[in-house]
Amino acid sequence: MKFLRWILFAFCLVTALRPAGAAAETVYVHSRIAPLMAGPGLGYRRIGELRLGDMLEADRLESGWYHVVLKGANGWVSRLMVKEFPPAGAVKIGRKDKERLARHARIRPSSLASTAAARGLRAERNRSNLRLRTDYEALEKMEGYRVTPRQARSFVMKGTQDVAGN
Amino acid sequence: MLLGASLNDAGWADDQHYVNVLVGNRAGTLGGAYTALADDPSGCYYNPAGIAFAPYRSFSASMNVFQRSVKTYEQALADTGGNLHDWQQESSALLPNFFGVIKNSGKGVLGLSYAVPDAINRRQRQSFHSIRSNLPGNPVENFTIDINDSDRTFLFGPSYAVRLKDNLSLGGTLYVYYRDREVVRNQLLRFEQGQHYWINYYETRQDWGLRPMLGMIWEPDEKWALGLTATKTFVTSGKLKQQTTFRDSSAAAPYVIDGITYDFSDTDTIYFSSATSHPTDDLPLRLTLGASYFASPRFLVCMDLSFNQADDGREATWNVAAGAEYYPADAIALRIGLYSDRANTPALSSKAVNQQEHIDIYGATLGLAVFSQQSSLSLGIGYAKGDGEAQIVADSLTIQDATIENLTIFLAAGYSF
Amino acid sequence: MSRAIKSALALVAGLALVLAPGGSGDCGRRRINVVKNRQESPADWQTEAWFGRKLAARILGNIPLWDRPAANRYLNLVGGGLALYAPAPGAVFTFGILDSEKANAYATPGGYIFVTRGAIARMRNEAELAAVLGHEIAHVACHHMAKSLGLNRHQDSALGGMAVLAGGATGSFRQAISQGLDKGLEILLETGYRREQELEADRLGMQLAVMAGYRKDGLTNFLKRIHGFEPSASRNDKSHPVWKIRLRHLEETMDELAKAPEAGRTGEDRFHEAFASLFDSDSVDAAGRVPE
Repeated sequence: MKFLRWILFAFCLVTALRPAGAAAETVYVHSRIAPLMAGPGLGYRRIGELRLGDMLEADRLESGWYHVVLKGANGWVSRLMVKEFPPAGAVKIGRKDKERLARHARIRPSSLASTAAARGLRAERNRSNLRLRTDYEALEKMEGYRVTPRQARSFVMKGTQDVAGN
Repeated sequence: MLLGASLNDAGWADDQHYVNVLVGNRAGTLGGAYTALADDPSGCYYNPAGIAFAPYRSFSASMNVFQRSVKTYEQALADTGGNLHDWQQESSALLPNFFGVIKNSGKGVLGLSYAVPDAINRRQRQSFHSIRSNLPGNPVENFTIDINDSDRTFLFGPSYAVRLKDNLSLGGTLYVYYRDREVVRNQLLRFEQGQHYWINYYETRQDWGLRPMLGMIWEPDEKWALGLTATKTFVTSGKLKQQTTFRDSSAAAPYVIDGITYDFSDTDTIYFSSATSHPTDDLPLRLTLGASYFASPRFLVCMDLSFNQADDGREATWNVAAGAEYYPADAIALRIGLYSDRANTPALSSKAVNQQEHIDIYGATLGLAVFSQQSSLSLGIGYAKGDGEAQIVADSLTIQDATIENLTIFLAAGYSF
Repeated sequence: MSRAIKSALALVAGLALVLAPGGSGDCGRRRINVVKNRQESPADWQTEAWFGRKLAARILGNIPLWDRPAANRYLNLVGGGLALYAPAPGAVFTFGILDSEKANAYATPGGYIFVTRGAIARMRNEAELAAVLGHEIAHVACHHMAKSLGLNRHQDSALGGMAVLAGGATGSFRQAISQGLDKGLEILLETGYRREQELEADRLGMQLAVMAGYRKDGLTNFLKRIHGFEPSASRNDKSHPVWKIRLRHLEETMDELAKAPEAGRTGEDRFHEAFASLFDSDSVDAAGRVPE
């Protein structure tokens, strides 16, 4: 029957069109460090360390871990550490960004203002104003306690060594 | 009827097919296999449950379509030299075919859309010479036919969908249905011996109704989605006005059609009739089952199977559509679709007269979409071809081969925010 | 409609409702253009950091910083060590101890993380601290507050696309920001995150802690202890969902990590050294309470 032939033809065409290897996906490491394991889980041997931005070809997903290939080597990386797009840079408001901010700021404030107005923002909240208090002095103090990733790294290493040493 | 060439009434609006215009940008270029996808505003039309799966909180889409269709009735007329002539009708329409917007609202997603699932502007202007007639020794010296039909269906209305679970959604659309049709047909035959036959027919029809649709989408796992819809159009009020002006000096004696005696012995006689009626013919129930397979974030295939119930005058009709979408780059999508658009009329019998034409159409679509961060632009092209049979001449057993060729160009834009 | 069609429809709908397992969501449906479009831009992280800093200042305006340099420094080292593994490339993590007796921990968008003195006093070791910090880091990495408040570019809210607007502060914009901050504070101190967000943070947090070398049972131990101390915590303090659901889910997550070494460090010595003043034997009562 002609109609059936059409259905069959459609299926064949659609199947033929499916590009080979469509299942392999490119993923990128989104953490500063991501352990590369010998198997799909943290119990396996740690065979390497991936870095922020590393591009990987993932061909399999097993219990939350991607099997990936990188520079010829392969292993498993946690699905939680990678995403399908490259990571955005760390927050540094450089000149370029400022320019971009300014440019967008020209485009949209009016639309935002009208959106906010249209939403009928409550002008006053009858909630106690206690919550409105801010303490930027304390915040700056807190920011002073920040550590660099390098310091954090050596702290983690030291902890690991301590355990190993015990 | 005394004459050899009078149009069979059947087949002047395309009521014989269910897929006359592919609605929506992505949907259209996937051949309309969208019941399991439906995750953008055109979901309001294909499966309202799908809009609950839309990736953006708000989304609008619009589409313009240029459609050209040529219908040919092969060898419909024979001239005195024995040559056979085709009848050819053309239709072209340029129209905004879809506009829709969806937005998160309450627990679900609210949609509002406008769609034109059927639009025809049919033209035929042909003249034939020395055509055989059934008056012995008196062929038709000149036969002129002039057809000017337009027939559009508009849908407009709200949709709402909710996700009952992460992988299950239900939705409904309530379209207001409006169909506006105008038919103008003029035929003049002049016989070699001086007589003439002239008929002018004018018809307008407006139908108002409601077209509710219920839909469901279920994703049994990450890779699969299944969709199901049921829809029916209820025509609540219809107005049909028909006018005929008729003169026939070729008849040797008065004759009777449908109880009216036509007597042209006075050469000044013209018959004029006008009638208004209020038909309300519902359209049959349609059920659609769709499946799509998300092979990867870059590739998917989808398929729809639709069933239109039988009612008086229409046969139960099955159609199938299949589509595939592939992203060669992150911001570019290529789509192809295949679909059937089969006639809801019975196959023609060699023993009956004035039968409706039966043409099964099969089409293919191809589309390209380009995305930027919040908008998308797509271009699509569709081609469909149908072969079948018709009985174009009134009261005649002769069956003509008929073909339809449709070319469609889509231009669509989407914006998410 | 024929009876057969009706029953078929009813059957399919019924089956789908009964059989449909929850959870799979629509990850498969997302096409690459949407996935890529979802990518975080530096501007998104900037928005969150900008907003998060304001929110952090408000938290500190309500609960003072427990300003012990050594303890805060240590906290930042533990947290920073976990953050190395956090899928949050645009975040700058800053950790601080709040001077409150109540046991709790908070995170604001972009990376400000607070843990109360009261929470630390109820911990036994570094692994438990790491588990709590890991959970808060995960909230930041998963943009939970940004999603709830609509800070993301694509979200249709008055705050949407705030990064692009940081320059053009009109009156109503400021009002929108102020409302956003109110709402943020409300989420942190009153309503809490959505349950699935908490569970997501538990899962990622535990993984971060184990990757950084800690024992995997830090959070369960801590939660169980907290529950023992404050049976009413689940009712009064809504910043975390009912602890039992979390515990059950955490245990499932631990099972998933089953192959993870039972070992891993607890870091008890460092922990007690850093927080010596909290654990002076005469300042903690038998139940582990720190006096007012």
